[in-house]
Amino acid sequence: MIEKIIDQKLRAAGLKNRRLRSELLDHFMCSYEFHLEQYGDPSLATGRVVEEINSNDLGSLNHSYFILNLKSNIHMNVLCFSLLTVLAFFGFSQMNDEDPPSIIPIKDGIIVSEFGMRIHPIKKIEKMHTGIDIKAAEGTAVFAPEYAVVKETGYHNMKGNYIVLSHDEIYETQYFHLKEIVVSTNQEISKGTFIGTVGSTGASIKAHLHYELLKNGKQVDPKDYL
Amino acid sequence: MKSKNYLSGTISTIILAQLRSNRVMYGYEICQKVRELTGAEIQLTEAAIYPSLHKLEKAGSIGAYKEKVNGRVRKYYHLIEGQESFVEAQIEELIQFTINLQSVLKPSKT
Repeated sequence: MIEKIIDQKLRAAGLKNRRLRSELLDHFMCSYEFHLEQYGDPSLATGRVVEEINSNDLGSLNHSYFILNLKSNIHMNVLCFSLLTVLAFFGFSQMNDEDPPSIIPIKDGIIVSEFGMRIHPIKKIEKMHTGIDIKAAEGTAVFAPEYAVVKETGYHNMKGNYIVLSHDEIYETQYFHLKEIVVSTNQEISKGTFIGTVGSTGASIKAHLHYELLKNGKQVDPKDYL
Repeated sequence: MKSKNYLSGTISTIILAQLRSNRVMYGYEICQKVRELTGAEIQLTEAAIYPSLHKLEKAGSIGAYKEKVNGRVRKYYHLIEGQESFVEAQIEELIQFTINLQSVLKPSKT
């Protein structure tokens, strides 16, 4: 059954979003019908569709899909036209399943220190800043930006009171210098759950939240996902 | 898939009935609609739906046009004027057949 073959290929390419998969499925089923009419032979048509799927860089779709979610055009040219238009069809707001955490965990938070190289405020040496600092008054509520399972909570002399949230197999977020932690390890939390309050614990001068986004265990700039 | 054995003679009528209630549909949409309506009990495969659609089109029972949608060419099918009575007759015939089938398989206690 061609439908199953296509679906399996899409899954094998790592396309996790259900809506995206069903849209592509629709796309390739239409292509199948087109080839079937042209060749009049089901197996030839199947072969053509499989070729089409293979020649498209479906792996890049996951990536581009995030980019689209950011309403940015930068990487759009990497997509072939047909797949691009397929993606463009999606309402940005509808792409909720398996999105990376894409909102600031504090309401109206102001980013005071960006991701990247900077002079460390305490050590006074140039050092990589692996997250962003969000300025907020002590006691300001911190919210989970996405569905998550609490991976870790604790105290560390640099991080202070910290929380690590695991959102899916790919994304993790970390929250440092908290005053209070109100969630516990292995707790399942939904988007918008109150997880703790802003503080100045650990290596911190003034109350702020140090927020990190990890993709496959590596820190990335959360601003790219906002 | 259990009902697969019984489907072969009914596919074109299923298609006509779907086009009658939804006016314009493309092939894959019909598959999905039928799946949805029957709780996945009836699943039209591509091997069933496309040849039937193309046959109905060739016979002039339904019309079709192609349209580019989101980078793909979709072929939309629709009923055509003057074929209403044919469509009604087909559907009615199949309904009648299932009623007859029921009375044969499940004779009412009288």
